[in-house]
Amino acid sequence: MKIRWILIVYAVISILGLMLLLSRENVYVVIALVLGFLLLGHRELWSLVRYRRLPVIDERVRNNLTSAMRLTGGFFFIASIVLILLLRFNVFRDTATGLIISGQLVIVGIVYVVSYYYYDRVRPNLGERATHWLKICLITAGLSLSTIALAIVLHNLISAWFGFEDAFFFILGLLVAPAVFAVSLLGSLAVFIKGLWVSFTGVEQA
Amino acid sequence: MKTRMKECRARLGLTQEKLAEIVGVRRETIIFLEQGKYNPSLKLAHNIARALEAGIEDIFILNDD
Repeated sequence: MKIRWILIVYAVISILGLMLLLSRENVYVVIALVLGFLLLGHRELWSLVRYRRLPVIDERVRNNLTSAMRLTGGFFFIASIVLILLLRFNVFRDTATGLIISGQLVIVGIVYVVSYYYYDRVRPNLGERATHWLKICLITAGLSLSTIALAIVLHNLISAWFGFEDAFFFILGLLVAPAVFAVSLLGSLAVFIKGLWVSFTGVEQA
Repeated sequence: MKTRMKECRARLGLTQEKLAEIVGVRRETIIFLEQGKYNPSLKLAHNIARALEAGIEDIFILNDD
């Protein structure tokens, strides 16, 4: 009964939020939110349609939800700091702030969906070695992404303070760090898809 | 961790769905437990053992390593 009321309140707030976003002409954020909701809640929706009741939120689901929320919260905090730094140094010159914040919210949503699927479906199917590689890839991706932002800021600072075009942070921020980010992201995706594949097909990898 | 949930469940003629309903979890949780991919809390392990009419140590076997 308590969960039902929480869900009703959540649904009302979500509908109000979507209406607010629509009134601000953020249609793409609304589409992303609805898609995310359908992706995350497909089992709940299916259960409501077929059995007319919500599936049980057991300890495994609760733990997965908590872990995904914690990870997304951490990501949101770091992303906000990076975004504030980038806005402070006027990196997005001709882009509206509303658009940038909407983009950030969409990315945070994607992080939540991916992390929930990781805890719910992927992690139980990964061995110790694969989990270790996934951690390394994700840490490298996070570090390289932060390096891009930091290098852009430092490049602008050095150019402004010393009056010459800095080459080191330019190459680091625009060539090296993005390449490392792309490789580590591909590595993470490969491990993630492998775990998801096992989850959906039930075929264990060698 | 190894489990003997599947054998005990088969002995009692319970389906995964029925066992999930008795102990108040999702069927996926029972699947992960049977495959040894999820470590249950003591409360859940106790509830499963009771539903399967066996002791916790008979159903959940800890590996030495």
